[in-house]
Amino acid sequence: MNQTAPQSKISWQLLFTLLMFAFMYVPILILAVYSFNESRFSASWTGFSLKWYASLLQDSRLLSSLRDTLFVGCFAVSISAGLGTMMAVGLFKYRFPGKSLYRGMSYLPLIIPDIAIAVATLVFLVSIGLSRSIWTIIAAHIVFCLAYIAVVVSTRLSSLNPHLEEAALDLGATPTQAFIKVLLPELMPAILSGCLLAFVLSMDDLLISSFTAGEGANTLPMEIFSRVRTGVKPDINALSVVLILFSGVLAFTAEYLRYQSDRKKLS
Amino acid sequence: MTVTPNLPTSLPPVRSSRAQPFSWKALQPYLLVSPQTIVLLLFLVLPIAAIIIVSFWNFNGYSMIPGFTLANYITVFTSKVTIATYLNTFKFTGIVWFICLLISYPIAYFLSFHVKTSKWQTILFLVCTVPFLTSNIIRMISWIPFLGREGLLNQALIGLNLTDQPIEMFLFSDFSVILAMVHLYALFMVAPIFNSMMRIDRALVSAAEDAGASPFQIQKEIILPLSASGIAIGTIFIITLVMGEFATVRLMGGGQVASVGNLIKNQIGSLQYPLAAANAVILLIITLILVSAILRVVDIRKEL
Repeated sequence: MNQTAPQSKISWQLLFTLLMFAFMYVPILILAVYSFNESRFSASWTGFSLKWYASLLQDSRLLSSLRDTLFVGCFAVSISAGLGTMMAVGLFKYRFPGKSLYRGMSYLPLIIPDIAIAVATLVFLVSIGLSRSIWTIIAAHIVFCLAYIAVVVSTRLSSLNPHLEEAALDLGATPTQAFIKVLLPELMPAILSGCLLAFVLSMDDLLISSFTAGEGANTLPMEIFSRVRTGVKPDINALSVVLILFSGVLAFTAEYLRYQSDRKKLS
Repeated sequence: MTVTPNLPTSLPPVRSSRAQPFSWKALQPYLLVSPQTIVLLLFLVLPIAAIIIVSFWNFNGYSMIPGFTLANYITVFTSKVTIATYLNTFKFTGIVWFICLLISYPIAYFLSFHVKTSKWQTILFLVCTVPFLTSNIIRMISWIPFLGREGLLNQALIGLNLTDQPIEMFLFSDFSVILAMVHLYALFMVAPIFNSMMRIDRALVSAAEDAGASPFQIQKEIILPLSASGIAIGTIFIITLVMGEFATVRLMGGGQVASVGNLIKNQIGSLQYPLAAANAVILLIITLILVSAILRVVDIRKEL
């Protein structure tokens, strides 16, 4: 590793980038500061307090919506991880009639506006008479989770050394063995980082969840949205800080895994 | 991809899985790609087919009436309010896209060309990414204490004697909606541009420098054309995200600002499903036209 990097001059691009980083982080930091404010009102600072964090833990409605969110995310992501990886591997390793059609299909959720997916799913469910529940949210989430996981895994596949698997086959491994022992470990970081990305997106989705949710199913973004419509209370600030830390850690882990695997690839 | 017909020619046989149609090997790719495709057919294509059909149905106060009518589309195209809502949505899409491009290009350029070690590139890119993976609603509402009537911005302006009374337009206006959208979506532009800039052969830039090209010429002749595919992907993301926007407009516009997403949400709320379906179909068609126009101009295949 090059420890003595050449000192880069202070350029306008650097200043601009720092300014934009500030633009991204400052509102969140302000929010975080207010979450420790004693006062109910964000306009004045009356002292440091953790009471809003304490009140989160007693908010049973919030906790149950958190449980729904985690359930939806875990379920949708684990199904998507399997199917999405198969899709990416199938598209990468083989040439077959209709391939471009399959490929086009796999990217489809990425180019359709969320609201169209949401309305389509809702109207479809209503017209076939299926009642909405937490399972319909999961089905709708699988759609976009699949697309993201397939894209992340495909990107990784295209940068892999194709000779490794061939070598395994030449040395007498069966195709299944070659897949499990050679390809899958190489793909694991990408699969995990795709899963984390999909999970974060699923945890964050408001539109599709609120259209496809049925009686009793209430995800965290839906709960937050219904609360902030009438004004932001400090307990929501506190919740925001917790969530930002949580998804920040997830995001960091995902990127770290990808970075590690990229480095391995280069060496 | 074109399918080669089995013509009796003297050409060597094309290596293809078609050669042995019933072998396990020929079936293998389909076993791999079909599960996802079936799921998408069931949960995405079928529902879209359903809204296309339903958009031609009638409805009354509480239910949908199967049939064929163009009334929903006529309602959409003849209502001045609806047309204005569409135009407003396009306006947001255009402005947000443009600002995101202006912001993202220099950031991506800085990260890929000015930051020398790959370790720092990754770290800085991560710093960019983390806020974008946190909850959208939270990042939206994080602007409220800043922009509000008694917010920090107004307090600062009053403190600096730039204004004697709080400026109302910072929050619940087009301004706050656009600001929040740029804040939410800029990464979707930074990431693809950064990706394609990272693939630019650095030797090209050095060669151009040696040949005496000015920094502007290097941008115009080398970096901009070679990052076009990244810009195209970013543009597609922004278009799909902003066209269907609902929550930002609702929260940051405070009910003052209209968007198609909001319109559809309200129609769903009042059980006007066929009308909402017609609007969703129109929105979808417009988006797909824009996306295919972009794909026609820029070849993004090498990025995928």
